[in-house]
Amino acid sequence: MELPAPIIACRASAGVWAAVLRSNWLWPLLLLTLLPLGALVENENCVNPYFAHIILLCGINITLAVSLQLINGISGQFSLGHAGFMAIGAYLGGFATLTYSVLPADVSGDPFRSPGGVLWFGLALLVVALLAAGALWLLFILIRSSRRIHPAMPPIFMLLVILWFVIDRAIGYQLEHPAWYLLWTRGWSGLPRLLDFVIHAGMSPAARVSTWLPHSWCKPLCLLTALLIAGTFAGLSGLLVGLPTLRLRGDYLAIATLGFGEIIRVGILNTEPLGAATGLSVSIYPNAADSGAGLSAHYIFPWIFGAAVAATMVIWRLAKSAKGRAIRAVRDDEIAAAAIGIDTTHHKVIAFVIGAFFAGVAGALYAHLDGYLNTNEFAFTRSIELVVIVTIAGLGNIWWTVAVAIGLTWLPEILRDPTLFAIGKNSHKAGLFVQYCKQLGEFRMVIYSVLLIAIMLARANWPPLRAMCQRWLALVRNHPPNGAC
Amino acid sequence: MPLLEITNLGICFGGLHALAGFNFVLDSGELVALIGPNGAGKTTAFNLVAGIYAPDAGRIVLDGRSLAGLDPAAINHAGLARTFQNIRLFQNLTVLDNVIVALNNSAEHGLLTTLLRGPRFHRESRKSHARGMELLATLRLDQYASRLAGGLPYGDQRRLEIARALATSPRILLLDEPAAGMNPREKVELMELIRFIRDRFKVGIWLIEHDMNLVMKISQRITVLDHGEMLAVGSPDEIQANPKVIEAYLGAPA
Amino acid sequence: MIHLFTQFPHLAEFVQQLINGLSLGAIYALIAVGYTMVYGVLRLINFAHGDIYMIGAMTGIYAMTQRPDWSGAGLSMVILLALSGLVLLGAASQRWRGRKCEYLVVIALLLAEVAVLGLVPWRHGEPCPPSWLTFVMVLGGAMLASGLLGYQIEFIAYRPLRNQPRINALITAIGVSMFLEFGGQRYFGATPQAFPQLIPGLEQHPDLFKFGPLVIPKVDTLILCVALLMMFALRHIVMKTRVGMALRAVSHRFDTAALMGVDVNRIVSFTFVLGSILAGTGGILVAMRSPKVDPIMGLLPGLKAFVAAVLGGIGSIPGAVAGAFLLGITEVMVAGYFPHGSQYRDGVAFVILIGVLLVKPSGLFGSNASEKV
Repeated sequence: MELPAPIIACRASAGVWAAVLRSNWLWPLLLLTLLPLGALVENENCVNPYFAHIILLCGINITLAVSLQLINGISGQFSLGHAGFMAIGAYLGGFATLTYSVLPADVSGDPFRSPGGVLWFGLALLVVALLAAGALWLLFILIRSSRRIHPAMPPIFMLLVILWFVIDRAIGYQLEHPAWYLLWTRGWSGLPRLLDFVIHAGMSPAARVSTWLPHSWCKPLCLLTALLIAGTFAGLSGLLVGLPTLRLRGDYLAIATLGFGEIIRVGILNTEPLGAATGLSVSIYPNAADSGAGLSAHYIFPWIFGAAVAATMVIWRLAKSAKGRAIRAVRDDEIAAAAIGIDTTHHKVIAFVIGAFFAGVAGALYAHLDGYLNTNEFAFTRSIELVVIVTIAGLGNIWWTVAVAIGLTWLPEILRDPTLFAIGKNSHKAGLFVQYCKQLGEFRMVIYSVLLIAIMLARANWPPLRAMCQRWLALVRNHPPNGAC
Repeated sequence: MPLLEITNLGICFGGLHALAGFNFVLDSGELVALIGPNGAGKTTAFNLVAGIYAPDAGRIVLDGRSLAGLDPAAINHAGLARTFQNIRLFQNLTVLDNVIVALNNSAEHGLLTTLLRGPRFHRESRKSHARGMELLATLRLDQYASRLAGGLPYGDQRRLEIARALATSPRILLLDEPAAGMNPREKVELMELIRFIRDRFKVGIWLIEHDMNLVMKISQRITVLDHGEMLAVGSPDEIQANPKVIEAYLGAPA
Repeated sequence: MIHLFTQFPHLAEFVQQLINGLSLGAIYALIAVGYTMVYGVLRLINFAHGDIYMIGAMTGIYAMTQRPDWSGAGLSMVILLALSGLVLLGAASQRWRGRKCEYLVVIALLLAEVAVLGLVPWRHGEPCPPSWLTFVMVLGGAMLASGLLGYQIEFIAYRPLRNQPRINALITAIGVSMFLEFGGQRYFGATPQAFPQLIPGLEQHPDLFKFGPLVIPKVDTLILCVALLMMFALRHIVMKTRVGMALRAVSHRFDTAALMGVDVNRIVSFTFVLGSILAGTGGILVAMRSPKVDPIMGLLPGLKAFVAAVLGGIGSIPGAVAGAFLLGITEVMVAGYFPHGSQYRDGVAFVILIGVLLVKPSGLFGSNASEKV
């Protein structure tokens, strides 16, 4: 006898709710593990600060590696410029906290008092950036529409625009006050002034709003706002990198992203407010003895842990969903994906944006952890380290990425000084081993590179290697003991 | 009013007219073939209709809508699906995933639904899963559901590509050399499959094929191309008797 | 002429920058050609190419200033050398029997290199007096060292990955580059070393011609001459010899060339060796120009030469040369004429790269090889 329709519907929806519960049960568990781990890091006698620092770096590296896994592994766009996104997040987040989280009326200059200020800075920067981007977009549309006059017009027009820019800047550089017709020079110097104007306009109301908030909320809100700003701008720059490179494949894309990363780094290097070559000091406690230090480990640990968990969860859920399936389909064959109605642009760009967002958040956390930023930290080498992590873990494997990120953060530290880890404190033989490890530690980057090459070669030749090993094993096993037939 | 109407379609590749003056109509439920010697411009015609190339001349109208300037994804949303000459499956996805991804459900999910995994997400997942398995069962591929697409035998790969195209609920299906590389028994099965698809899914089918047996047996109408120009249009018997067609394939009598 | 340049000092400055740019471009050309040849044949961006250029420069320093201290060498060195000789004999015997022996040759080479470079202490010795003969010999030594290195890298790191997706080979190339850079830092020391003078009388008379304010240095002319000579030699090899024809065939269609009887492995090795020789020459030339040499000097010029190759159309040798000269001139002009130009100097190459990839990815001379649907 068939069940009445409402009962069937009930059963079906019960099944759905069961599935919802099943996919979300892990959350309370994770939050519960947070507390004892946090206590571990918090209690200074339990974990010494050196270890705490490494654990925190692990968290940051997990966030970075998983976000790169989304771009490289799941969406198949080989990006070598991840350090650029991290740099944007680090510098913007650090700068926001350093300059704008201080209440204007506050003489002591303590940071983390004015979340409103940080938020206002973010909004102002967003508005000015959108204005500038909008103006450039209009110019681009103008150039593109000149195609109607003659098909060869756009490149010529673009060349003329570039020449106009060059001449304008060359003349403007020599004059004290650039004339009204030097649009590019005036624009170039006008944008920062506009930004300052907007910020000053809104800073006092923002600061007043901040004073209304309960005191204990200020610091976490400040940090949260700084992280979100960092992530948003990094995500926007991900959009900026992802859109133009849509047509590029494989090695060309790798080199283009490398170029973007370097341009970002050189750009930050030449921006005065961000410290230029001498580095930005995100001194959280300017009046303390060690003014270069960032936030204390126990304060920042839940943030880093939260960011790592959030990144892993978001990217895992994205990968296992219909959107993730579409992204993987675009990775496998873009033309076939377009032929079945998948919007390839949307899916490729969203991978870049989300990956860049989390890289930015990780960068801001790094800034607040370390307290001192130097553009050399965000050079090509860091991108390569992240690519190594993602490659060793295998393209597309998220949990392996987490594991390898943790491993490769600890490995150089262990190699650098094994005695810290209570290896070799006791016997003489172990002492030699320690010496050997220390020498090995100096060769750490050489070992990294050899490891990378060996893993790539082994992966490539795994079937023949495995067959060879099996043959040798078979030979050894089948060898008759006394040579008897 | 025919479902698909093409008038005077043409494209030039740097001085070479790959296709010129191409006219074509297709109605729902029709099975039409496009034949011609190698290099005649058949796949070019398909690529033009599917949006991979932009035509230099002519109009393509699907159900009253012009397909000019649309990209392939938009054309697919308008109701046209295609398969490829060289099989283009998603090698790293399972067979079931290949079909589910074509069910156009990723566009329906916003980012937030994906991340929060509420009841709507799970409901949609189950629905797509069920529909995917149903489609696979219809095309007798359900035993392969969790295998990677790259591991299927050749004939089944072709069927999977057709299944994937059908999952987009098209009104018109373009099949590019579906019988390439098949032995005679597989070709007979393919013939049955194509007829079955036309009857079951109510689509208009446009076929490019080299195997004359297959073409003559199943198509209602045949268009012949040679060097980018239309030689003849008509029923299979008319085409077989057409002297120009015979000359294009066998050469003129000495 | 002198009158012209004294009257218009801006013109003299412009021409001076142009000459600087040409000389810089010549060096980029030597490296870029290697990139483009390897890409044409294997569709691989050899990230380690810039480091081969560095090895060339380092070889020059070693050849000029370091001497092996054979007395300090231990028993282990002798054993390794003996082993290397034995392996070489084994290779010869395999060859005599008609079997594959290349891997044995490479193993022998590696053993010999470890023995001579690693186990023999090299000490600072009497620097050779500068002369044209020294110049030629040092150049030859650098070419030999870089050619050997290129051959070994191809055999060990790239040949096993021939049938893999190109991304894997790209990652391995990055690994090789890192190995050469960090290994170089450990072996040669991370501090920059001074490159000794090779050409007689360069310090006293550095200029070839002087047209009023315009000065044409000898070094730049020498660099241009050597670079152009090597370009012509390369063009002769690629266009007029059988090996060159085989090279061009392999760069068009790999599998078809193999079917036509071309020994693809040999041609690929030959391409690598040729490219590496050019890069090594570039290393020596640039060291003559700016005498500080350090193990990571290859990273940035390598990237810039790659940009030059992309600008000219990757896979096309004349394109690489044209792109390199264009890039060199642009870089020098930006450094000279832009406000704060010298800070943006390194960014120029990347801006050009992004511009090329967005506007015309196939470059100036490249062809648009699109996918067949």
